Amino acid sequence: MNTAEGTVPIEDFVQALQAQLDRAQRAMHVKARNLNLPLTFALKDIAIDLRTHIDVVRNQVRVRPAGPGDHDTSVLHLTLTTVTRPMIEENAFAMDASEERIDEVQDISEEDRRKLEWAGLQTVRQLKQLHEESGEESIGRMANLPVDRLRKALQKMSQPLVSRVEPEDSEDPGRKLLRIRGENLMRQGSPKVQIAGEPVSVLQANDRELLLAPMPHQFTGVLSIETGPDLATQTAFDLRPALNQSAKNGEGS
Amino acid sequence: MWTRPLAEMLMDVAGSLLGVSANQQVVRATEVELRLPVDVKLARFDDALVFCADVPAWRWQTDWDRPLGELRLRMEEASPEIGQ
Repeated sequence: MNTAEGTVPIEDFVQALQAQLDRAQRAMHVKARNLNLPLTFALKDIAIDLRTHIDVVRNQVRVRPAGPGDHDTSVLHLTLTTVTRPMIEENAFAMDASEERIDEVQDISEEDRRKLEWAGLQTVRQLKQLHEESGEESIGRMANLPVDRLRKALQKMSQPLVSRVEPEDSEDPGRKLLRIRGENLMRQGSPKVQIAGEPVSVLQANDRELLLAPMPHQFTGVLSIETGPDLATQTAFDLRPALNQSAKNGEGS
Repeated sequence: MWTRPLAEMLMDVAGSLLGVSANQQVVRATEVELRLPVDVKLARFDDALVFCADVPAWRWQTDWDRPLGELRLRMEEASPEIGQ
């Protein structure tokens, strides 16, 4: 139980029940397949009447199954039915395979991830979008997450991350540009970018790529990208050897 | 009294029905409906909430048994392919 009183939120209670039904359903199919049976029995509907105590604590409905000698209990009646694959597909929303899922974000606890999924939030983009539209407190209420934990999770998901730094030719043959690839590289406006402590012009910016116009001496050093308060990353890089090699190859040809 | 997770109890009940469809029959059951008294409790295993429900171990209830709930389940014939 997750409280001293032994009550659990009703959504956790229903989820625990669903988990058992899914497990039973899967096990019956596996058993029938292993026994090479052409048909099996599958759960179609299930209804359960439970003697419980139901409390409302801070707008949250909490449930505790009745214990020995408990009188004056409520009867909680639940009816569940199975959904088939076509029903799931019909009701599923299309998700871009390249989208980062919340369960891929490190340092977010299983419990918090489950609560966000329970609220219908499966991808980082969905969470960020809802955050921009409704704010932390609305999401916190909907997913039953404390606002400070949600803020920390959002902070982690919004941290800029650099995965590649590479030179790129510009229209001016004597000038090279820098292409930065990564995640969360832009928020509301263009990010502040510095190399070795000096500002760099940002020519193009989106969430996953930046195109920079560095000065000739800025192809080495520490690249700093700041997309907002407390949202910054630093990466050391040195492209001089690659550029020198490229210049030599150019002279040779 | 040890109360098993609901899935284990359902697997026992459904597992006993598998033999029914295994043999060739002139008349066969295509749907089964059961109504069972169940002893329900919530447990935590590895920090996960587990819904435990089992048929009562004894025919007669004692004062130290939890009040029983009722489980009604309907099962029907299906292909062993998961999700169909």
